Amino acid sequence: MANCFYVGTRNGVKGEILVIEEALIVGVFASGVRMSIPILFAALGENIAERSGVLNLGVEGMMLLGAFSGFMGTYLTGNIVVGLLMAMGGAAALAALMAFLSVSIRTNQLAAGLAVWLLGVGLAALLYRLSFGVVTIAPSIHSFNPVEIPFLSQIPFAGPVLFNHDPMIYLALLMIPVTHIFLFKTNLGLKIRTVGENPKQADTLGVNVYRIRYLAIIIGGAFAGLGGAYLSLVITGSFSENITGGQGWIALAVVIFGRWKPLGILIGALIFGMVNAFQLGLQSTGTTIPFQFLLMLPYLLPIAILAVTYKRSIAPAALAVPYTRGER
Amino acid sequence: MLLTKELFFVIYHKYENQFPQTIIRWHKRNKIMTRVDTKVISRILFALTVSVSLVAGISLANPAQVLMPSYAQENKPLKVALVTDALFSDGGWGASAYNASQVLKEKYGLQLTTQENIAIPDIEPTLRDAADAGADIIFAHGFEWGDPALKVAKDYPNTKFVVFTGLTNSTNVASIFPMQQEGSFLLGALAGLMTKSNSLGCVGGKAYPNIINIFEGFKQGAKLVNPNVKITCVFIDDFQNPAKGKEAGLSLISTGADFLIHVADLSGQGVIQAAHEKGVYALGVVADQNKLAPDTVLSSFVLDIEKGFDESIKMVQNGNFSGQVYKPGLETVKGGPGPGIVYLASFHSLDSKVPADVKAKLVQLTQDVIDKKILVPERHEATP
Repeated sequence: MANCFYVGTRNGVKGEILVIEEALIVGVFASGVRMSIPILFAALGENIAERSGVLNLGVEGMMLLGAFSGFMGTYLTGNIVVGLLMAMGGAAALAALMAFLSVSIRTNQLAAGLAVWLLGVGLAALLYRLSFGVVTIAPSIHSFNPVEIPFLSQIPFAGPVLFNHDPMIYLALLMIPVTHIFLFKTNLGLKIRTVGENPKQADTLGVNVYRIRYLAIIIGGAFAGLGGAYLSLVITGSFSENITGGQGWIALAVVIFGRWKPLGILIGALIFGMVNAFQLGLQSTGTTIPFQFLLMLPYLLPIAILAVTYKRSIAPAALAVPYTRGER
Repeated sequence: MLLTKELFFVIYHKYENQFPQTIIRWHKRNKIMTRVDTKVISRILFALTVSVSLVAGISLANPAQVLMPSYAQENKPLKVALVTDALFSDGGWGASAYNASQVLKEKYGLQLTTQENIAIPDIEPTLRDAADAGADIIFAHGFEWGDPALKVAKDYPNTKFVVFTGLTNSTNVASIFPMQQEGSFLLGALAGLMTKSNSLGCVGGKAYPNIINIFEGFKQGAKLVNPNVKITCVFIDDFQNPAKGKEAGLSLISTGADFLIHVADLSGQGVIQAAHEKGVYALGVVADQNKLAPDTVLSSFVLDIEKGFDESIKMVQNGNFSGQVYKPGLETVKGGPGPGIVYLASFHSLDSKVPADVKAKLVQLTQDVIDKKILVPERHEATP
């Protein structure tokens, strides 16, 4: 075996050498990239909402509704692009409700977010049941085939890890510079950030705070919808009632971890995905480490990193503070 | 005639007030006792004969109605509830329970209610609700339901609880714990005979004792026919996450596994998808999962849940329900003779891929297990 990595020398009583083949290592990294994509989409969207000063706790519900509406769109039309648009639309509709609750009627954003989360979870399950009834085999759709990027996919190691995936992954990676430029280089991005830092000042300068916040939340919702749709349309090709499995909540943590910057968010999402893939890969080698410990890793490591790297909060100053025009 | 006449007088005068008014009126008008007497008596006799023969006729035409005790006599359909934490749409564990309940609903005219996707903390209230709704039998589908069923059953002595894959029992709680390891033993033998890489993978939802048990049977079967085989198990801690199941499957395939078995409900569909994508075989459990991926799922061990539920309903109907832990093993085919409720599904369109000697070996192993020539014990602790 030419392409072997030998980890450790002897594995306890049996005297086995733990052999990890290159295929597995490449598999783990590629899997890690795939697993970080839904979180990446959701976190990038959440970042835009939080930058405008709205803490949207309903991401998980929006992802789930996006996963459902995307699946429905593709199931009915047979077209994945239609599905993706439907996913963005469905999640954005729920985000509009969140915006109404948190911006227009100024409810507590934590309570509104939780309500929207629960509504999204319930709505997705309900609509799925209404559409398909009780079925013993989940309906499924054809998902994307991996697209190899010519030349780049031939690079050893990096090729299969980064450049042999479905188109959605490239879209997600593309969204990192796009959201960065949007937030930090455009007029609208500046308005969003100002509204998040000091809404009163923005208002005096003629920025419509309500409209900007609505916009930011709805854009964020559409991103969350894409993240959900990635699970239902690309990875599994079917919808199940808890398909997001808490990834929306991880996305919220990743935004904090990434310090409200797209590049930081990418790193956070990749760490989570990689550690998750790593623990599955390690289990596949037949290691004697208890799997319960490995299952804990994806959650333990981000906490550890957060605790070590956390210096001072750089959250938007007006985060989770409702804005009332004309109030002192 | 005289005797009748005198008798009638006696009766008439003694019980005047209690006699049917019509007859009395008729008598007062005609003043003839004998004719009243004979006519009334013959009418009564006629009516009796007709009704008796009618009842007898019905009984002869439909002996079941007469022979069946309690429930059928009262003409009340048996109330059955099926409750599970799984999804009926998982194409396996939950789906087969749902299908079985529907078949039996038709067969017995059951009054059936079904509930799926119950969260673990809601198990107890769900059981109580079902019992409060007056269920005669509650089928609790899943290992986790065993202890809550015991707890709830104390308060509802008239309701029978049947826990599928449970290991608990009391007077009104029975468990059916199929010897699934015997089924996975056969799958292990199949994979062990057909593997090219000598590497097999298994993906578990959670490390529940019954899931470890299935994997242990799988290992025994594979190692019996192929001592060089290596089996690696991955647990993903999630029954409803096909995405995670798929990644686990891909991970195992990248270590060289060319057969994947899964016990992970909906997550298992991801495992099958991974196998499909990479062109290796997958093995189904609990239900015949070939239709999920006809060119990938070589075979499955199937639980004849219908037979298990059917036997339980019969016990309740016949009034001989006994709260035991039943441990049925293999049967040769679905609905086959004997107590077994585990069988190996056919290879469907992949039939030509399985050599004849492998098929013969499987038939022989099945018989050996049924005859106890090969013992596949229950093991709830994982071995390497």
